[in-house]
Amino acid sequence: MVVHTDVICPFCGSLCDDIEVNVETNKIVGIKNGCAISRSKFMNYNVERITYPTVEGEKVQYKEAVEAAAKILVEAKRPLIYGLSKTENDAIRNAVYLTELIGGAIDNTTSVCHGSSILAMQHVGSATTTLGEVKNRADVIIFWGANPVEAHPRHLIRYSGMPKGMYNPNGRKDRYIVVVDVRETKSAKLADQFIRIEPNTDFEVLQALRAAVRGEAIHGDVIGGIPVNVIMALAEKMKGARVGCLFYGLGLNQSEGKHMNIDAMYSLVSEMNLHTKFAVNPMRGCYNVTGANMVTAWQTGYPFAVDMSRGYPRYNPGEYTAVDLLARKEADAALVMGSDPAATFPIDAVRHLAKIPVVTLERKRTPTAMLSKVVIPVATSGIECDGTAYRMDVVPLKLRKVVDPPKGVYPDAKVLEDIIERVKALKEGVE
Amino acid sequence: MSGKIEVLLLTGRSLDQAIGLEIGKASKEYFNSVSCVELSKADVDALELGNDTLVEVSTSHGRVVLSWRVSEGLSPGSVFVAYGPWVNQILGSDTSCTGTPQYKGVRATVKPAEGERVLTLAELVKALKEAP
Repeated sequence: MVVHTDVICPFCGSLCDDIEVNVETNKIVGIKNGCAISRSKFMNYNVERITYPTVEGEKVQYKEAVEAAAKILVEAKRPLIYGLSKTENDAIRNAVYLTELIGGAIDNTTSVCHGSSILAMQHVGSATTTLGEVKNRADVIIFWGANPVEAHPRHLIRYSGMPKGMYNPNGRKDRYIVVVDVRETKSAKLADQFIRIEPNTDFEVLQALRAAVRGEAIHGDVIGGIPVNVIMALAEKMKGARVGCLFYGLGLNQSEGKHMNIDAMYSLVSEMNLHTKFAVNPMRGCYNVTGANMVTAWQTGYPFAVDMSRGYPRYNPGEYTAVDLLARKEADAALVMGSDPAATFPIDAVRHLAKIPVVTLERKRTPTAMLSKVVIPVATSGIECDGTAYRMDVVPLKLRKVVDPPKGVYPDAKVLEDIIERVKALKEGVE
Repeated sequence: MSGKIEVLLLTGRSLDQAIGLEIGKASKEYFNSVSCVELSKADVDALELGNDTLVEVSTSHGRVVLSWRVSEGLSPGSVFVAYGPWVNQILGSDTSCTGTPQYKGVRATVKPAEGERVLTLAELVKALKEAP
């Protein structure tokens, strides 16, 4: 048995880098240190796998599938490349290049998760920090619209709740943890203070909190279901922090108000820095959605929602974002990788996806793969191939390969290289 | 059986959903985690739901039949379904020029779904392929 230590878990944006993976004859037989989701990922990586390419549901040779994929993309007038968040950076880079070649639009899962966060960051700016700094220094931690116990199960254990740090020698006892949420989640039960907020009132409550931090009067007794004295006390708690960090989740992005909620939160944190050191970090979901933003930004100047149809990149969330392109019935073909939009998009957008030719690079049977004209199996990044991914705090980490992929199954980056080669040949009229 | 109640629909990640999707989206574990709506005890009582009764959750975008369970963390008037293709049947695609649909705080109605059943993933996909 081979024991691989310090393996990075490729599930959520925490990218826990202390996983121990036991391998026997190219098969994972056990893991240590991972959470329940990590265990499920490593122990089931080979369950329900797609092991051969298909075109129209029929088994084909790899080269035939690549050819069919390239033909779909070259013939399309408005191709969309979407996903990118559950793969490594080299594959994302190739996807951007492919988009440029075919004059398509490229978007990643940010658009349906923290897209509004990016809009607010671009508007207000962001006082951010790394998870290492949080572990060592932060003594007031707020989770707003986030449920790390279920979505990022070891975040509290490794970074934000329990660990002993340089200035938090007593671990959990040195931190005051607040959870603001519409539900009393498992995370709320672990907090020192749970504040229940009414759905769709984050903007009002954050603006009231900003007023409280500035020492201004708040009109009304209850805002968003929260008594004003609780809001005032939270403002004082935040101002009294040695170092504070506000982690927030999709409770803000996906509710009414969207980017304006986060605009208010980033403005709050900016103003908090007049009183003490305070940071704000989004709780990124997919393990490399941050990488999808970083790589797309290196290549095009923009982190998501990029259109290359004019031969140069243009950026416009709401127009070039995947849900909008599909719901408007604008995209006439799609390549999906590192995501499963048929399981994550609203029904109108999925209905259009079901009507256009879709090429899917996927490990397992998913609703998107079931709808696709061309399906090409790929290796599991971080288990069957290496690469780089960005943690939620924009720290890049090297993913490890611990087992070989099934025979004839290649990494996303290699499949994209092969599609790119055929796209170039088809565009030049070379058979 | 009672009539129907007006609620705000919340969707989101759950631990079981994440574990299930890593087994596979055709797995029983995934199905069980994402085809179930969580309600407060008060709302279950108001609907007079029996243990074997399914519920219909509907919005202006459609309806879906789901199993249900009680969640102590929910306030009356809020219901929760884990992210997945079942709840997406009733969510709208309008993104208010942000790219992000509204997955949380969506106005919805819940009522008992007598004599119905929860569709399988294969049935959902088939319906998509056959949609006009």
